[in-house]
This record gives sequence, structure tokens and C-alpha cells, in this order.
Amino acid sequence: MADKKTTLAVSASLSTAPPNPQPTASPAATLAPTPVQRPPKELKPKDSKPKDPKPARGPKPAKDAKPAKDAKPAKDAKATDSSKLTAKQLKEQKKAEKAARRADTKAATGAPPPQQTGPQRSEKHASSPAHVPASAIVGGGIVKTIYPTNPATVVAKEVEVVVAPARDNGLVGLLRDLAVDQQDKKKAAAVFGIGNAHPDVHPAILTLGMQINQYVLAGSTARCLGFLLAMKRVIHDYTTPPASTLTRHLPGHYLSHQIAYLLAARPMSTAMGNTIRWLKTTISELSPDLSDEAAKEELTAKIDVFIREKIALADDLIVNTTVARYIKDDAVIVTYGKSQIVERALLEARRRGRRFRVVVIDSRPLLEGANLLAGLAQADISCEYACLDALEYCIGPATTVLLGAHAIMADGGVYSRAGTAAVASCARDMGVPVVVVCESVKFSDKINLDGIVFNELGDPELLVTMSDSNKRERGPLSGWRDVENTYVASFRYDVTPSDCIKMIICEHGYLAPKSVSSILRTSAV
Amino acid sequence: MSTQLVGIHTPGLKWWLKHLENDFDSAHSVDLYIGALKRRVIRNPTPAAVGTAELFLRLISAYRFQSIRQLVDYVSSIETRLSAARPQEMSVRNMARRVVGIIREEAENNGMGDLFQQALQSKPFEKALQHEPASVKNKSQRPILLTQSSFAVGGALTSIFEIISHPPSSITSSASSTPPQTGISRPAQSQSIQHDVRPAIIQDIQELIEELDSSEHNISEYAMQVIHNNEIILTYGLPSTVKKLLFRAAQKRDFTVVVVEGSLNIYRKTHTVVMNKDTPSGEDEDQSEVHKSLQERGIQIIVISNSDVWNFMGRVNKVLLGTEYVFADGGLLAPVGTKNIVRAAKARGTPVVVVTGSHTLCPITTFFEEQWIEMGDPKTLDFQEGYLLENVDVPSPMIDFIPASYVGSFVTNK
Repeated sequence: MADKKTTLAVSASLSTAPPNPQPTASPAATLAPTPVQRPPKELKPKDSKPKDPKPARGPKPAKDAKPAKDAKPAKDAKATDSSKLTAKQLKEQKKAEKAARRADTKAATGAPPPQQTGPQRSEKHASSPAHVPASAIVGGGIVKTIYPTNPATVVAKEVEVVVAPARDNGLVGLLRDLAVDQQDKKKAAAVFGIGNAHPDVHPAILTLGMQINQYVLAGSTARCLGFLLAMKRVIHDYTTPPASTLTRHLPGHYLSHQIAYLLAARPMSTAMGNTIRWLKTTISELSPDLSDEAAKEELTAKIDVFIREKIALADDLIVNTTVARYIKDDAVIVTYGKSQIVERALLEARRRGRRFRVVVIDSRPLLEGANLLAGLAQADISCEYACLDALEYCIGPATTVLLGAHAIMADGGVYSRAGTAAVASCARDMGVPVVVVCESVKFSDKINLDGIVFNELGDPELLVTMSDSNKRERGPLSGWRDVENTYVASFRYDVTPSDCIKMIICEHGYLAPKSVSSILRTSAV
Repeated sequence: MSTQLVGIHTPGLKWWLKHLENDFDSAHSVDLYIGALKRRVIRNPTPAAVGTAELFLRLISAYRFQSIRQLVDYVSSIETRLSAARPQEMSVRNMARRVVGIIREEAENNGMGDLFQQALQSKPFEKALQHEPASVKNKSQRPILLTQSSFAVGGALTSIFEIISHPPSSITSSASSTPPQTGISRPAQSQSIQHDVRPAIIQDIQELIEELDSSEHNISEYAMQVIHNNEIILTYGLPSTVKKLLFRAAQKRDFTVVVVEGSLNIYRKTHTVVMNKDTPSGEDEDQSEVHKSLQERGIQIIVISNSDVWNFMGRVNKVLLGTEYVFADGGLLAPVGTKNIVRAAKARGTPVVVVTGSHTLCPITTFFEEQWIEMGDPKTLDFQEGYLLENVDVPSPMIDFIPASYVGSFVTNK
């Protein structure tokens, strides 16, 4: 680490390593944990390119398809025999490389532009700090360094790429950008998958990530619970690296890899976001005097308490209140899709001997309600099963509409399975009270005004699949990607305005939707 | 009998028109058509309207009548039988009204307007409905069945109707067209009817059929007024009227269409139409035009599921809907699922435009909406899930009733 001070300009791009999850970071983390803990800003100016680890590192990322990594071995080569190629040739070559890369994906992951390093290295060998201010940190911990020498070419290329789909500034453009944000960027970053994962990612997280990605764990609560359980194992297996403390290293560096991996599996749910925030706070509040073992034990215990209080007991409480207050004899309960907690409440009510009727409303493309229906029918609850279209017809005789939620916004809007808004607004128009059951861990401090921008994109292929036959064959829409100007979009959630909701039941009791923010203030998950 | 068998195998309007062409027979064809309506072989407003008009065209040309009154009685009796076959298919009744209107018009043109009025007092009333449904809607709440009884009874009873429904417009029009000629004796007149009126009536009915055929085209004339550049239009399914309108607009405008795939009854068709994979069977498509898709004309199409309507509604400028029938007060019967769309549109303040041919406008209002809602088969469950069926009801309505308050404006071919 001594040669860190004898620095080269090239390394500005290498300093991206610590905060981002690319494989480049791994040797740095294993070989030299100390610099890794520093905030990246501090690192950048004086960080170095240590020559010895590099040849070992070079070939490994080179195997990957990711364009950003192709650049690295080349750079390494250049670092060793810098004077072999003329600067001009080098620059030309890199420029071509970069153009190809940009055409591949608009996602700016591969941004470190090494093409300029050649000339710079020869000219401004000593004046590395001079161009460092030009480097910018981009979201997601990826550092994009823009060198002042040749900005025109970079900009020109970017403009070129953006301009190509000329009409895409409308709704289609927005959707496409969302898809790029949510899916293609992940693919480009290649974080997901066992082969691409950061070496620090714990096997429990790898498994969980796969389960989440494949929708084995789909529900918001289930994912949250899975995360906490995996976290217990992660913490159990964690050892603090030398010259570091658990309270600083664990949340700041180690956990971020795990979380980044889970994020790559699927966009984070509010419940999980809240839980992660809670976990980080809890870790930072641990007394620094505790030994590692004691700290880990305490953390595990706290996680257990969290699971019990925020999830298990909260569910029990909610189920209890719902059954006691809202599922009486001769009630007609309308529900939409499948919510774990609604299902529990209905089954519990039946177990207590209530006779009531459930109307399960369902909708393409997911048709989750069929699942719920099977469970209810087997529990000898009389049911009605209808599509979202027949809503008006079914909701008339209902006494209550009981809905689950994915998250509840700070303004009381309910963020739930797409289609919930239609059910809730219809119920309001028909004068049927809408009750949402939801643990307070799902309360979000954000407000979504719109169902599009912060929403999670579903798989459009689900729409292509036909639902009215057993074969689940692909319908006439198959091949839409090859047809120009055609786009198929599907979102997982939508936002139900708070004025459609009569009440929210959480473990704290009954709430008017508008008072969610006060729970947020007081409970401070 | 052979035709009936054919009808079962290849049902539809095409079959019916072929039957009329080849083996028309007054009594038999009416029975056959009643059966076709009952079996839903011919359903939806446009095919039913065309089928009915064609039937009347042939019936009238085959029917030997002595007086206008006799002819109108005949038409009404047929109409009663047809609409009893399937009262929900109101375009059958609308077509009968139009035919009676045509008869009246021709009678007036031949100087027998007064006679016509004497014969059936309720007909001017209906005629007025044809042309200005809005102005008469308050008086029009009685379905036509009541007025039919008046044909039989005549005299005193019809005069009551005349008092109630005395339409000033029709009086002035009849007065202006020809002066009343009451002095002509009956037998002479009935002879002349045979010669003068029939060709004119038949020609008018042919014009009516042409109007039906071209109604979608005529509606699409309004495209430029409805759709503007850079707009985002949401439609439910892609009914052919809306599709024609979009086609027309695509010639000059640049816009995006959000297509909601629709209920399980129609989503497959929607997908097919969006991908332009529909076979030009000539059912109700103009073959020359369908081959080029909207996408090829530079229109971007986004297909979404019904559940995503609320997500998209905030970004949409206009909702274009097709419909089955429109009542006199502006209420609609539309394919199931439309209600969710208009509700979302209302919540987001998006204007709703209904695109429909004038043959779907019905001069009646309704107070009991459930009577119009027809139930379909439960597409959501398979027989393999039969173990569920004991405990589970699976309602599957085909029609939504939409009150007038949800609709912003109508576009028709008139």
C-alpha cells in the first residue's frame, strides 16, 4: 500500500472499486481491507494503481462479457508497456471500443473512459490532482470519471445514442427507460447470478436472491422475513477484518454487498427497505466496547425480536382484529388477488366457526386469486370467483372489501397489486367500506403520485401467455418485440388514492389512511 | 333444413346474407332469423342491424300489400317476433323503426302522409325519435311494444298517443312537403300504393343498408377532430369502429395508443387485432384496409392488462370506447370491463369519447339495468379445477351498464 502515494492518473477510474459491486473490487477488499473502508472521495485523489496485484487481477475480469472490464486488461497492458503504442493509436482504439459499448447499452455503467488516460499519462504524469475534480460520482456507487481533455467526443457520442429513437420522448420512451433502469442495467452490471456475485456475498444471500428472483418468495412480508433470517446467518458467519470494528465495517461495507445483490434480484420492497434501515441503525448503535462475539449475539437476538414483534405478532394481532371486527356471520367479503394476511384472516374466521362468503376478484396476468380461492374452497368457505371486469357485478352485495398491501405511502395511498385501485374505487362508488390490512413495517415515508415511475415492471411475456386454457400457450401477441412500434407493458403494483380507503388495520390498531404519517413519526421503524 | 345445418356449422352474418341471397322464403326466413338471434349466431349491433335490414328488404319486396296500413302492420308484427327472440339486441328494433320511418316518408312523398298519420298515430312519434332523439327523450320512455297494440285497436286509443306524442316537427314537415289530400277514395289509393311506393321503399332500405355498411367509414371522418398530435389515446380492446377512426387519424396525426387488452372474452381478439393477425374473414372488416397495421403507419401501440388501467390513466389524454347500445339518456351498454375504465377516467379527469354507429342509438331509457346484462361462460376456471366448483360461484357477465354521467361525448355517423 506504500506505492499508493506514488500515484498514476489511471487509477482514478480504478478507485471506483470499493463502493461498487464489480469484481474489480474483490482483490482490493481481500488484500487491503483498510483503504476499502475509507470513503471513496478521500481515496480518489491519492489512490493508486498497485502494480503487483494487477497482473493477477487482470485476466480474471477479462473473461467477463462486460464491456467495462474489457477496458481494464488493456489498461493494464498499457500500464506496463505504456510507450509501445503511440498515444494517438491508443486513443483511437479506445474510442472505437467505447462507441461499441455505448451502442450496447445506454446504462452508463462502463463509464470510466480510459481512452484519455494514454495521453494524459504521458503529459500530466505528475499533475494527477489537477484532473480529479472533473470526476463525478454517479448513483449506485459507480464513479464516472469525465476527463476535461476531450469532453466533446464523449458528449457527441452520448447525444448520438439518445437521438436514435427519435420519437421516444412520449409514454413509450418513458416505459423503455424504466425497463432499462430496472432490467437491462442489472444485466449490464452482471451483479446477479452466482457466477457474477461479489465474493463477499454470503451463500444464504445467494440462495435468497435466487428465491426472490424466481418469485419463490414473492410477498413483501415473506421477502422481508427471508432477508432477516438470511441476515442472521450472515452475521453469524461474519468476522471483522483486522484493524476494523464491527459497527463500522459490517453495515458500511459488508452488508452493502449483500443488499446490492438482493437489489439485483428484484427491486427492493418497502418492507425490506425499512428493515435494512432498522438493521443498519441497530448495528451502529451497538456499543463499540462489545466483543465481536457478544455483538453478533446481541444483533441476532435483536433480529429475533424484530421478527417476532414486527412480523409474527403483528400478523397475529392484525388477523385477530380483522376477524373480530370485520368477518362476522353472513358477511360478504371481497378481496383482490392473494394477500397472505387476508388469507390468514379468512381461514382463521372460518376456524372460529363463522359462516361468511368470500368474493375473490382476480385479474390477468398473474391470476393469483385462483391460488387463494383453492385454499378457501378447501376450507369450506363459500366463494365467488370473478374477474376484475365483473367487479361492479360482484361488489354490490358485499359488506367489506378486505385488501392486502405491498406498502402504504405517507399520504395514505395504498401501494398494492395492480388492479387494487380499480377494486377500491369501485367499492367506494358502491358504498362498500374498503379495509386494508398491513403491518406497519410496510409503511413508507415516500409518496407515489403516479403508478408508473416508481413502480416495478412485470414481465410483459405474462401478457402474451393466454390464461383461458390449461396449456398456457403463447397467444397472438407473441413476437411483439419484432413488430415495430409495439410495446407490451405490465406493472406489478398500482397506487390507490387514500380517499378510496376507509381504514387501515395494522398492529397499532385502526388507522385512517391519512394518519399513516403519524405512525411513521412515532414508531420510527 | 339443409340451410339450418349449414347455419350451425358456419354461423354468422355471412351465412345469413348468403341464405337471404339464395333461398329466401318469407315465412321460413323469419323463423330462421329468430333462431339465429336466439342462438347468438347473429349478435352484436352491427351484424344484427345489417341482417335485419336485409331481411326487411326482402320481406317487403315479397309482401303484397293493399294499403300502407297493412304494410306497417306487417312490419310491426315481424318486428315483435324478432325482438322477442332476443330483446337485448336492440338494433333489430331500431332497424324496424327505421323501416317504418322509411315507409312513412315515402307515403308522405306520394301525398299520403295524412293517411299514414291516420293509420298509425304512433309512427310520426317514432320518426321524430329517429332524427332527434335528445329532444323527445322525455316522452319516449314507453317501449315500442305498447304502441304496437295501438295498431290493432286503432281509433280511440291511438288518439291518446297522438295527444301525448304530438310532435310539432313532423307536423310541420308533413305540411310543408305536400298539402293534405283527404279527398281521395281508398281503393284507388291502395292501387297506386302498390305501384308507386314499393320501389321507393326498397330503394330507401337499400340506402339504409349502405349507410350501415359505411357507418364506420363515416365515423372515421371525424378522426381529425377527435385525435390530435402527440396525444395518448386509451382504448378498451380495439373495436373496429375505434380502429377505423385511429386509422384515419394516423394518416395525418402522430399519436400513441394504449390498448387495454380487455376481459377474458375479448383479450385474445384484442391481441390478434393489435398484431394485425386477424384473418380478413369479411365478418365486419373492410378487407381492403386491414392489411396495413397501425404500427406500420407510425402509431405506437402499448398493450396493457386491465389491472394496469389506473397506472396509465394519469398519462392518457383521451379515452376512446366502442359500445354496444346507447340509450336515450346517454347511458351505455358496453363490453364488460368498460366500467372500470370509465371510472378510472372519471377519477383522473380524462375525457371519455364513445364511438358508435347511429344504429346503436336506442330511443328508450332504462331503469333496471340488470335486465340487459347477459352472463357468459366462466372462462377463469377450467373443468380440471372442478373440485372447486361445489363451493364456488363463477359469475361472468358480458355487459356493463354505464350511466351517462361517465361519458363526455359521442361520435356517430350522423
